[in-house]
Amino acid sequence: MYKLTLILKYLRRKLGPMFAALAVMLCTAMVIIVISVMGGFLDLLQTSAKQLTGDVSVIARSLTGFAYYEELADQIEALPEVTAVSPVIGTFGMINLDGQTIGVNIMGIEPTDFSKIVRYENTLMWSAEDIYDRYGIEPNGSNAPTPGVDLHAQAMTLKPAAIDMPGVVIGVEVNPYHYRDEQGQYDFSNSAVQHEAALTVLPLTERGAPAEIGPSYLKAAVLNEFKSGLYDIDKSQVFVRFDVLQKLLGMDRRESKVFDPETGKELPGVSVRPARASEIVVKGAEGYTLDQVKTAVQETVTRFAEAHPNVVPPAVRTWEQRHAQFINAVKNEKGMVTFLFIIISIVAVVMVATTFYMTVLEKTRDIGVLRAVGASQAGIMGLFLGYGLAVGVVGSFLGLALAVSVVWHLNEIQYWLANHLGVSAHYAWCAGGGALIGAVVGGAIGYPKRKTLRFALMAALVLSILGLIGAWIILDQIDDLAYKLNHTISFKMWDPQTYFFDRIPDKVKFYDALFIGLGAILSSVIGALIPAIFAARLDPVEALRYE
Amino acid sequence: MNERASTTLVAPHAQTPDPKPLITVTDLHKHYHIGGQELHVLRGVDATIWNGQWVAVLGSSGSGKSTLLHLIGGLDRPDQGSVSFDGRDIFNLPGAAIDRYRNRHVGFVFQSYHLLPELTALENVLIGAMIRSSILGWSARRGEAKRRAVELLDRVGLGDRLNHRPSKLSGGERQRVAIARALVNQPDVLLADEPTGNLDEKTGQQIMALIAELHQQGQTIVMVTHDQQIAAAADRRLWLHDGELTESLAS
Repeated sequence: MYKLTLILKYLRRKLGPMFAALAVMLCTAMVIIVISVMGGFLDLLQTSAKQLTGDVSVIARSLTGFAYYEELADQIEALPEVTAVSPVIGTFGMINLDGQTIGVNIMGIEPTDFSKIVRYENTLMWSAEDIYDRYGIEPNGSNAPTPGVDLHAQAMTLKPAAIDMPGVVIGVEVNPYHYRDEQGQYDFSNSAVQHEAALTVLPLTERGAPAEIGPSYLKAAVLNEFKSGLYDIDKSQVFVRFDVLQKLLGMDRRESKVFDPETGKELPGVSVRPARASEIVVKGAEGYTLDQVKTAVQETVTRFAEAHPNVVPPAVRTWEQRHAQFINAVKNEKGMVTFLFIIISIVAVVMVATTFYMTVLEKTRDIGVLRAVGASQAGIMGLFLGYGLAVGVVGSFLGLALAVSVVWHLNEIQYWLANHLGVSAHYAWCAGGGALIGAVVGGAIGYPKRKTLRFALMAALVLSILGLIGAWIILDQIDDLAYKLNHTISFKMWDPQTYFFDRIPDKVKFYDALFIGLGAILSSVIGALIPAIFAARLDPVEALRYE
Repeated sequence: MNERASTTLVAPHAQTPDPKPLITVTDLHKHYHIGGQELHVLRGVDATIWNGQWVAVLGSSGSGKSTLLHLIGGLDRPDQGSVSFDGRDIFNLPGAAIDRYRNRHVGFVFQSYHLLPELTALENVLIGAMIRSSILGWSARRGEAKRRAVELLDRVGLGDRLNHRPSKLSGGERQRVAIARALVNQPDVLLADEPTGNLDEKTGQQIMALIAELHQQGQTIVMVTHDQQIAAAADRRLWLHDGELTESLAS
């Protein structure tokens, strides 16, 4: 019982361990903040990657695609591990938009089916209501989308409502006229919605050679723009209807007459070339892991390949495998942060150990008294370990509170640093400079009267307030000066114009925080261990004589 | 303080005359290495302390009086010899039993009081009772222990200083808190090491009066001092000289 009483007394009345708790708090907060941002960044990447990939993809090994995809899609859809499938065609091509031509990946999709598997619908940027609300555009203004046209519905059918031509939805960065403002937002007035685009693709024969007909062209209306969150995708991908692209690439079902190669005479019957697709995207059923879905799909593909020996069996990949390169890069960075956490834990251990060693020295005589009153060696050790635990718990909880407060308000903090640091720093300089000048002048005036300190303090206070008032008057009168100050002295830790995500991740994961908090408590206890052993082994007689 | 003497400060068992020896010291040797030299402070000390006795140990500075007291209290270990309490050698007790011996059977009073500065007077007195109890056990014993601690502080004249920290108390008041602390677990023997050494004459006399009162109530006391006047109040006076103990009859 005495241990608990003394721990509580020491916690309240000793400054040293409070510094140790402060060190634990700062270490805990720092690691939680870094891990949260890194983890949030990784989550954003993964979500974005999954958003346009689906759980599992069955991918042709050649640009020419694979035949009998409808049959394979039906077989996969019948699996209990699968809830939805959608065939996709992917090809390289070019898009000409307002006179600018760039290389793109063109994907042919069935938007409604595709949206059941990936979050295509959620990535669409513009709806008429959004545009009117967010950008204050007049419905009949020059930048307004066609009145009465639902941009969202158009994008979901990939068919323009008013024009007789195919529709296309382009990645937001495919549009060469878009740029992000200081808040990382795109302006609708620069969008390509309702503009005409020309797609160029190169049809291939079944053997992979360019078809004799040469490149195919398609005029299409831009119906919307999408933003997946992955810059590489958003700058290079466009969507058209599956059947449109299939036909454009010559991958649709074709029937042709049969001729006798020797006589050249037409033979009865027709030769059928089955339709092809590049990929089938698959959504797994709830309750199944990604690996279980992949295994079931792989087995189906294997059976399909056995039934169609002339078809090169497509590959089966999970979304993680498809985006492994950049996801692993960020995971590695998160691994490095974990290493940083270990280093910081060691720092915390050393700081706690140093503080506790000093505390044990300071409390040597008390340790002797406690031994004289009947405390055992184990009891003394328990006292200091418990003290370490208490310091760890206090530091850890405070660190957690600090980290959560900072992470939840990280975007506001970043905004403040980027937009108000200049004026605030100027206020601080004026107040600080005034205080310094006041202290020197006041001290000089007070020196002959032997009232140096009082004069210095008074003068510092007065000049500090005068400095603040002066700065406020000047800055309040000259907005331009305030703007320039803020613009010059600013700290942008996350520039939305540079990074593709427009917000800093601001979620704290419960288990990350729990793990780090427990780690900090453990570090504190480990830090207290050696001083605790030292305290327990003190000779009580020597301890009582300690000065 | 004498007008309050109707309430006893000591354990009920201590008030009963008992012809048995309480503590037996046999052939006690102790030496220290100081500055590369070997200093034999105790050279085969033998003594018997009977229940209810007040024994004063006299000797010059550095003669080993405090060392003898620490050995009797189980705070230090001898090079040779034994200290038997109630017939058992305390240095052969298993595990933490020697700590329990100090906690339950011995009460130390030091020259420099040695109060814990973070605790109030009441908490300083209670600390021995707290050490005796676990957290769960404390909830059951807390009321009784607190009642006794308050009673003890009241008896030593500090009933109105319960929540004062040591820094707010005078030297004499601190020593009275230390005596109350030593008595909280109703020990069999009170070991006092120069209890008036840091006090002025008047305060020292008050403390001696308190110790005499304890003795009258049957408390066994072993007191180390170099002051013959103070030792004169004791039943027995033992002289420690050149590491050996000799006895002179009580006045």
